[in-house]
Amino acid sequence: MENLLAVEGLKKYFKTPRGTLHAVDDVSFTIEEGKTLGIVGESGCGKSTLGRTIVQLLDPTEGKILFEGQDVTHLKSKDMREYRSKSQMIFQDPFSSLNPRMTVFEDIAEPLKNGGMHMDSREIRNRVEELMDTVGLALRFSDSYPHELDGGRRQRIGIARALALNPKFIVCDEPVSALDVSIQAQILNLMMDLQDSKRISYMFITHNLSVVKHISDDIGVMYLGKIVEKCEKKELFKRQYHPYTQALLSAIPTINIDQLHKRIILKGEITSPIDPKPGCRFASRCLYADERCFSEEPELKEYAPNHFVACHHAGNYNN
Amino acid sequence: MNEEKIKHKGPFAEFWHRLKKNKLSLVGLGILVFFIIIAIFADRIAPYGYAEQHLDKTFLLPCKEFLLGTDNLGRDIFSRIVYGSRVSLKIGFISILLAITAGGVLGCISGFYGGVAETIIMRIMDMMMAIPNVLMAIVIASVLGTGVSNLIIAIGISSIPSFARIVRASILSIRDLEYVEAARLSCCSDFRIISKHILPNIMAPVIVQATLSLGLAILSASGLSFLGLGVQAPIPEWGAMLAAGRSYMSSYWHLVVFPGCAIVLVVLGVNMFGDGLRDALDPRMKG
Amino acid sequence: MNNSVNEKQLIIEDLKIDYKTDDQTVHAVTGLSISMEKGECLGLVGETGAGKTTTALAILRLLPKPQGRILSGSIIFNGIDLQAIGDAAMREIRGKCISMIFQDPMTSLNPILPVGEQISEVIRLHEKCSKKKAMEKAVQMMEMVGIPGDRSDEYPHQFSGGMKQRIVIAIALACSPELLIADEPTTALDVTIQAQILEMMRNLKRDMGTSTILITHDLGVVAEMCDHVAIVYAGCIMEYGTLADIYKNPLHPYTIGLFGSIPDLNSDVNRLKPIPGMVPDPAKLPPGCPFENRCDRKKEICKNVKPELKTIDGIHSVRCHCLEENV
Repeated sequence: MENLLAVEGLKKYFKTPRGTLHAVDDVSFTIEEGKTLGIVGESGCGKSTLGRTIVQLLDPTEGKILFEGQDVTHLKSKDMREYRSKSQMIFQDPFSSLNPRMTVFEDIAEPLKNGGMHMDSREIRNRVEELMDTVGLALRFSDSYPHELDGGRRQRIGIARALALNPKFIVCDEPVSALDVSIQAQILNLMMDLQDSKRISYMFITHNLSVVKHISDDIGVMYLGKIVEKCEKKELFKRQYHPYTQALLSAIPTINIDQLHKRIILKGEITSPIDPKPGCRFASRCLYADERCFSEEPELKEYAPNHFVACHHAGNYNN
Repeated sequence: MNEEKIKHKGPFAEFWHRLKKNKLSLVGLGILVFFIIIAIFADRIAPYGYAEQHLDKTFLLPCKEFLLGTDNLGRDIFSRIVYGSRVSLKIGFISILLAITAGGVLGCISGFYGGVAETIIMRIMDMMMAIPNVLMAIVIASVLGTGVSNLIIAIGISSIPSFARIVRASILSIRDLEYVEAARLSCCSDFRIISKHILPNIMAPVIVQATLSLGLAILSASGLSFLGLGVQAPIPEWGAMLAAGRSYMSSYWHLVVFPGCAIVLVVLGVNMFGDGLRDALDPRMKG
Repeated sequence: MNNSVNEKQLIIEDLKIDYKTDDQTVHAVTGLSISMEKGECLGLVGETGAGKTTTALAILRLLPKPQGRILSGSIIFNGIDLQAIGDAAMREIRGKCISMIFQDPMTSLNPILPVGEQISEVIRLHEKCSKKKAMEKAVQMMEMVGIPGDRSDEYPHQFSGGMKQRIVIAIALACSPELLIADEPTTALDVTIQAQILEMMRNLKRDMGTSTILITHDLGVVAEMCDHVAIVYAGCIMEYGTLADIYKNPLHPYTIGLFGSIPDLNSDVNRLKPIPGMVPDPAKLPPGCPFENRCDRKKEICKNVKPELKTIDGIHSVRCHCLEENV
């Protein structure tokens, strides 16, 4: 099956007064139609920047993005519209992702009015109502303003807006992190239902491993702009080869009180992504780092079938 | 689910509700409206023309015939103050309108696009702000000449930097918010993003600045006229009336007190209303 | 409660708190009772708006005035009625006997004071000692929470989120308080940093014997840290018990619903089971059980009569009409 999205060697650097910030550094992956790639990492790993670069909210510094086989890395404005109709984004903060001055109806209608679909007002109204129904938003909220609604409903508006142009691919940037636990479950179920019915691919960005396990098919773990481990979901939770992934999984508090295990506590703090030093980015916090780790940067290699790791010592130590 | 029928309080209704609670700002609004009405209906309200002289009845104190007395040329002070409100408010509103438009455009360009344009525009604004308002107005007035129109231009130009700054700062604060990114993803043009998504959300500080600048503009107009650079006789401008009455102040207090009170009242009213506006608009904007 | 009142460190009895604004009155806490012993860690679990933070602020008499008002109920700490004592006495207790950590480390620290000074300020306020001695103790506290002491003259913005939270914890523990109230202390932090902070808090608890009230919505964190758990909903406690009681034998439909709606690492469910419906508006609470509109077990009585908190087994107690029959 041809990949819907293929990213090759993607880099996004920012110039800052203190140096060059390597937000995304040489990231490559593919996503098939109807599948979800989970991108996991903590703050500063570049996952949000990665998402925004792929939907062209940011211009890539280097690398290639191929969507349905076509190179969309540097799009001219006339092609941008077509790309936007195919790839969209759902944002994290239900409070700042909606224009406080627009009603629910106007918000969802925005892409319909501007996406070059040439719909008249009746068609737009029908489509908006259809979308609201799809995401489980009662029609009586059409004329409500965002501040009158709770986080869960606001996030549904964001989802409806993202679905307006019938995209094939949606980047979801921490869509449930700001919601209460019981609402998270509702929204996650909705997103999975939409994926089933409309064959949408997701790139699901989150720091929450439990959530990503639930919704993803494949998972990529990011650290300081690089993918350090990538494999199929079940595989990742069975066996991790990168010490950061191991620490990440170990750090998650579990609700199974009979299974309280010894945690791997990382030492120190995350290093700066500005003009990073040579060698592995994780070396300064890694329990197993040696000289080679501090001088030579490990490449992302296939260590086991369809299981990629960027570590010189992958699999050499206890799991 | 037994939820009540949803009452939609749009942002304006919410804002009005909050404004009503602030009694002081309502008083300020009342004063402003009062003077606007006087200005509009000046012809009906004023008993005499503003240039109508009664040389046999000069320096009269307030009496039945002349409500606020007469000045050195026997002109009815009350009528002159009424017509004067027209002048002051016209100067105030038009100059601020000029400043908002020009400052707004400049602020938008520098805030939204940044880069070289922003640097150039903001440095020019900095230079303009370094010169005291009144001084700048004096310079412009001396170049262009006196008269109401030139006064408007002078005050308008000197008010541009504060608006440019506030528009730019407001745009910077919301430019990177997610709903602006979402607007880009919805294929909105730059113009639509600015007009539909950004400007409506930065109205609050701009409106507040506008009301406060209005008071300042009226004060500046009076000041410049007082210095002889603004309105020329016999046009009744409150500041000019102050200037004319200065020499007679010790004997005939009413020549300066009434125009002075008018200035104070309008500026006070505008400021009180502006304060209330700011309180009513700001917290709501946070959502 | 068979123990005499003096043995419990903190007793809150039927606390009711309202927030009154011009438009409406919000019933934030609606009859909450808890008791804690020395050295215990109590988890207050609930979602946004359940009333947990309000309770914490009420203990320290930090409710926003004039909106927040304690309507009724008592808060007794070490036998002292915290509502009855004067302002000066309360200031003595804050920081020295009871301390609080707030959720967002970014806004808990004063941006214009060096961190060492912020820690020593608390020490000087409560202990009579010189500036020099206070600063020495401050540096000690920094080392204890894992920050090099030579960074004591740096400013908050020079530290990362995790380190800022450690400083906040250092400030809170500087005077060795008997009770620490931690309001979502790790929610804003990355999970690996959270692991570091929780480990540190566990060690401190062990070494200093501090009692803790841990306020959070994260059931995983509670499992790591707490001895007893109280599930809070709409301003009162729905279920209370030991960690084992709640995690192995949850009885209240809300508690069961909470566990069902969390994606768990160790299980593989196809679809999560969210709790249907929404939290009731705290300004318009129903007369009966506040969970009634979302419950799948309800009876006629649940709509009209608010259930009492009844003990089921040991200290495990539940507030539900539908359980009493099974006991």
